[in-house]
Amino acid sequence: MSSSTTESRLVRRLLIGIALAFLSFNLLLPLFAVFSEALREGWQGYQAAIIEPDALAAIRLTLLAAAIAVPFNIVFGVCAAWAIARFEFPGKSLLITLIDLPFSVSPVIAGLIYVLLFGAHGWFGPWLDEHDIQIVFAVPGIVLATIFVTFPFVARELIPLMQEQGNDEEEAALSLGASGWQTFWRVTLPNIRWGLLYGVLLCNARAMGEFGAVSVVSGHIRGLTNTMPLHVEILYNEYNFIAAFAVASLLALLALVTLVAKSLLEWRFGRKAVAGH
Amino acid sequence: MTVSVHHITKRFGAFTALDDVSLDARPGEFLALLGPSGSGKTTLLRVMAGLEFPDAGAVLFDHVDVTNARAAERRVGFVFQHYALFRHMTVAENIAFGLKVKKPVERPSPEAIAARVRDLLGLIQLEHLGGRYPSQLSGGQRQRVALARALAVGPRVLLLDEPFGALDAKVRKDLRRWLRQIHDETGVTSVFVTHDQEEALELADRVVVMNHGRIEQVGEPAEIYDHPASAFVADFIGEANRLEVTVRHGRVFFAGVDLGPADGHGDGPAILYARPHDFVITDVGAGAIPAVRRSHRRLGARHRILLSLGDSGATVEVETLGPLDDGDVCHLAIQRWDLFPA
Ligand SMILES: Nc1ncnc2c1ncn2[C@@H]1O[C@H](COP(=O)(O)OP(=O)(O)O)[C@@H](O)[C@H]1O
Ligand SMILES: [Mg+2]
Repeated sequence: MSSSTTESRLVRRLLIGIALAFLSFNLLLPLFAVFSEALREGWQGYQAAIIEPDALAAIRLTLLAAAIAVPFNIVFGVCAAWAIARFEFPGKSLLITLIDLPFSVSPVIAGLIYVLLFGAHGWFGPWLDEHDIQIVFAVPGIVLATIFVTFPFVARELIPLMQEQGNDEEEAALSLGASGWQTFWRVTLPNIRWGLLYGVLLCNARAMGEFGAVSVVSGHIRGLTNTMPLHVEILYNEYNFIAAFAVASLLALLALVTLVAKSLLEWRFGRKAVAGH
Repeated sequence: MTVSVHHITKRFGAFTALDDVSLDARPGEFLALLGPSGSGKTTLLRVMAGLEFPDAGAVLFDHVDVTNARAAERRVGFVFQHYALFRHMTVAENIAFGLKVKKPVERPSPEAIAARVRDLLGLIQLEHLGGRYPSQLSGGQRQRVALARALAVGPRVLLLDEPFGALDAKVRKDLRRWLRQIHDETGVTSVFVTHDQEEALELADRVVVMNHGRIEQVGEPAEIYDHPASAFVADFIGEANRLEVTVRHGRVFFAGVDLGPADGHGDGPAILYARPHDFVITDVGAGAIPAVRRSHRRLGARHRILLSLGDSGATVEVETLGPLDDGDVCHLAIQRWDLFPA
């Protein structure tokens, strides 16, 4: 007996060791590299790389894209989850599949779709040209691509949650005289708030970090259509390592903050679930 | 208030959950909807509440057509089978909800709301638990909060869907007496759903027996028990022995024994229902069925004796009948029965 337990203990340690080593090598080491590279010439160099106009423009554009994509996703996600969790309608399973599409399609393809639709030689290209509207290789294209790649996040988080909760409480609210609007604000939303926040967090992280889809529709015009990830790539290709890593470190920070917030929420979620039933 | 449903039909896809149902709940009445699972009780209750809309027929509150009025406009109190308390609100907030969502002109002042909540907490005997969350209450306490929440808005009718369904036997019994008491104090017309006949017969002024989306019988508990209107009701309510009999020349025959007059039943095969206490031991003679005692079982204070009847293969359960042992032979007479077409 003792030999088998020591053996299993050994195996356990080995497995944990492998996992940790792998994690350190693939995640911690790069993270460390990003920051050490960014700070190689000290705080001054780091700061200079970030307040440089093109970098600021990239940060602004990234924030703008996220600021549009996230609210859009909240509205879309809540509507879609509501429809799917509460109603039976033809095409429901198709809708669920469609919501997952951005997960299964390469982001590059997502970008190309918009080029195909709105590019100079695309379906709507001539019409857009006539009306002097620029979508591809401009900010609207970047926002559209960001929305496309992020739209599963909120909906996917809410659908199982709302399905599990059922609509008893909403019916109770209605029978007590509440309007649909009051029911939504006072009953539905409070019940899904943590799940919603979780979805928003993941959605935001993806919106700010997206590279592939945005890269295709961006056109890489410095100071105009570069988001942070694109800006990092350009700087890197120009061998401007310190600046590249400085901007990259901001994205890494975002990832860390997201991770911490996510853990906090999970902790909160877990406790809720235990207390709830 | 009188709640009437007229010729209600409700379908879910191809399935007919309610089939031409008509019913009146009289003012101040405590009405039970009783039936097996899937018979359409909940659906009927939800149609009354405006949580479900019928495909045909009308719902009237005091003779006013509310068929197309939404739940929020009907001023009904609905108590859900699984409580449906707002999980993120305290007990007091749950109870106050219906008052707080009223339009500003109709909404009582915060002090008035607080006073009303205090009164209701007193009524449900949970004065000290107003600050708790639903997850911190027992099933029975949750159900009482759900009732207080429904009563808070002064509903015109109280609709309860299996209010005790999820509770254990002891809590159930206490709670249902208490509910009846609350009903008698408030005097609000109440309709409650149950699949438990004991609950329905003990609690209700009148019982509506449902089966397959139709009403089988409406009547006072004693009437339902003593004079079942259909074979289904006879079988479903109370314990009943079912015997296949034949009617010939206006008399009922079982295994060749003439049991008595058939009271207008046409000749041919028929089904006879008789309660365990309708059987007596008798001497050989007219209407006496030879029987053999097979076994005995106890249901708490009551006893049941299982006998096989002659060589018909039929068995009946009857109440204790004097000193008999397993294997003893005797003769049984049936004092009272209900006869239905086979
Ligand atoms: N929303 C629904 N969709 C489809 N079928 C339903 C729905 N609600 C009820 N039913 C069906 O209608 C029948 C009656 O249901 P219900 O009224 O809940 O019965 P009861 O309360 O008597 O058990 C059941 O067979 C049930 O499956
Ligand atoms: Mg039911």
